[in-house]
Formats: sequence, structure tokens, C-alpha cells
Amino acid sequence: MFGGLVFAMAKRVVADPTMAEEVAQDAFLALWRRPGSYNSDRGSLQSFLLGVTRNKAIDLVRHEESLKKTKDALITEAEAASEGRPSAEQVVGMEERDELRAALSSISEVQREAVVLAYFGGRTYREVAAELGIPEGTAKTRLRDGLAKLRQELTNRTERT
Amino acid sequence: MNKTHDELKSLIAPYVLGAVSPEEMEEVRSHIISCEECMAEADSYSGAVSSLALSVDPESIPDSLIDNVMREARADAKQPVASIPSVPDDSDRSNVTELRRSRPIYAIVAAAAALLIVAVLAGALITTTNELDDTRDQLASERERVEQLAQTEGAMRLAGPSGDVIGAMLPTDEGGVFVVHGLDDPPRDHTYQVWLLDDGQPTSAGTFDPASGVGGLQTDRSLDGVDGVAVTVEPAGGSPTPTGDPILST
Repeated sequence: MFGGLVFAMAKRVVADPTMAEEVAQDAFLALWRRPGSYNSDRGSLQSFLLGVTRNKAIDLVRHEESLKKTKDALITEAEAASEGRPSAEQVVGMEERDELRAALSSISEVQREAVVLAYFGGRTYREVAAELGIPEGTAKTRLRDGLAKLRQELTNRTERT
Repeated sequence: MNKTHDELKSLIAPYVLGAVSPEEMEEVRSHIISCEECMAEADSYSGAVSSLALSVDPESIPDSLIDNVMREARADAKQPVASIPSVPDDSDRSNVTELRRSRPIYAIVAAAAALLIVAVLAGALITTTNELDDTRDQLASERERVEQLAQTEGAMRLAGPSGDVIGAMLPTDEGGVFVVHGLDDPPRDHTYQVWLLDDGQPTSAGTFDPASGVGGLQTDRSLDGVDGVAVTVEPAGGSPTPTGDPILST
């Protein structure tokens, strides 16, 4: 389960599946060599491992431009993830994931585009601005508003349940 | 160039998303340490950022990934302590060279951690994840670690006749994960094979070769209805049915 999520995260960021596998491997080995780097006060092991994987993947694509995914690929995958139905084998955490997806689909399209390019695409806000043809200030605002909206949606959903 | 508070504040969201330059990363980091308002804003986004991470759909994990992680883990476990000249005091350094130089610290815990990683890979450690922030000293007791794993909910404990060898089979979402400690290398051209017993009928869960006494495997066979687990020595490649007496069983 962790292995599958970590590998999927690496694949979301890195265009080459073989390189994604190496990233996933590095993330596990990093935890394995330094188990003390994980602090349970700051979230679940799952989200910690995914964060480590994401950062390693971003480091890689920033150094190897060719491994970077295109904007269109990133957006298509993000849309699939916010609409997709989980398959039967992903029973554990399915409801939680559904909630997250619903929250993600609630943020506006331009906000999601900016957030996805930054988080999964490894773009800095300056690169987001250049790629979308918007001023840097607008890119920063979209990232901030996207996160704020997401935070609000998640809070609303937690309160409802 | 010093940025104003407002300029830095506008970088908080890009910062938590990792979407700033390395220079800005440092500037924002040192700013939020001393600015409560910006620290609070950064903290307020942590759930949203985690939700982005967790929105990823799990994929089936390639066997090669498990194999490679295990191989690296075993390689670390095998690293002879004597061949490494010095132990740096600062275990926080994270670049590769330092990691290699600081192997002695890790060599102590490596075998234990090899067990841990198999369980983590499979997500079998969900019930015990808070133990992960244990100190390395605690991790160093690898036997104890297997005992802990064997005591987790739904786990089955295996032991050899002498009690020197212990193992644990842990249920996961997709099957099970097996870890063992204290095994000698198998005889030449032989391997260890794990069997799941259902009313005494064995089904193979796969083969493994231990390194430094530590071994393990992941199986996608469900543990539902399994009432026992046994390990036998089999010719390399494994056998369709067990050919020898179990050297380890529940």
C-alpha cells in the first residue's frame, strides 16, 4: 500500500517510469537509513513518505529538464485524479481519498492549474507565471487562494462528518 | 537583498508548495522562524498540502522496486564496520558521501531496519508507525523488533526449535508480509520457502534468501483462512510442495 502510493507519487512528477522507480526506492531508503527523520507529531507516516518522494522527484526533474512533465500531462492527470473512481483493491483509505478529491475539485480551475504545476510539476511560481502567461503576483495569489480554498473545504468536510 | 514582511508573506504559499527558488526558500525559512504571523500561515496550509499528496492513486508496486530496496537494505547490513575509517559525529548530514561514511551507526541498525522496510513497503506497520520515531538505539535490537512485529494485531509468530530464529507473518491490505531474524544462509543451491497452511495444506508464499540473518518477502496471497505458516529449505527456485521438515513454524 505505501509502496504503491509512493511509486504513484513519483510517477505523477517524473515523466520516465524507470526514473520514478528510482525515486520511490530512494524515498524508502532515506526513511530506512534515517528512521528518526520521521516525526509522528507532524502527520502520518504515509503523508511523510509521500512528501519525501515528491521532494526527491522534484529535485530530479529540476536537474533533468527532460524528465519534467508537460503542463497538459500534469493537468490531465490531476483531473483524472479528482474525478477517478478508486478501484476495489484500494478499499483502505478510499473514503478519505474521495473526500480529498471532492475538496480538490472544489477549487477553481485556474487555481488548480497553478497548484498542480507547482506541486506535481516542480515549477516555481515564476515558472508557473511564465508558462501560464500571467504576472508573477497573480501566480502567487492563485497558489495562495488555491491552498486557502482547499484548507477551507477540508475543514468544512471534517466538521460535517 | 532584504525582502519586506509583505513580500515574504506573499511567498508563504509558494514556499509550502516547494515552488520557490533555493534562495527564496532560505529567506522564507529564516523569516517564518521569527514571524509568528507567517509561521501560522505556513502551518495552516499543511493539511491542504498533505491532501494534495494523498490524492494520488496507488499503483501496483513493481516487484523490481521491492527487490531493489531489499537489495540495498541487505547491502547496508553487510557493510563491514572495520572497513570504514571514521564515524562522523553529526549524523544529520544527509549527502551521500556522509551517509556512506556514517555507515557504522547504520550497520548496527541496518538488519533491524531491513525488517522494518519490508513492513513499511507493504503498509503493514500502520498500527505501529508511532514506533518509527523511536531512537536508533531501540531499533538496534533487531530481535526485539521482530517480536514487536509478531505481536501486532493479526500477526502470526514463527519460531525455530532452538528459539534462536524468530519470524513474523503480518497481514496487509493485499496479502501478507513475512520477516525473519536469526537464519543462517541456506545450503548451496538451496533457498528458503515460506508456506501458508490452510487446514494443514501448504500453499507457497514465495522464496527468499536472508542476508546477515535477516530475510523477508511480500506475498499477494490473502492470509484469510490461513491457520499457520512454515518455512522449509528447498532447492534453488523453490518447490511446488514442501520437500523437507519445517525449520521454522507457527
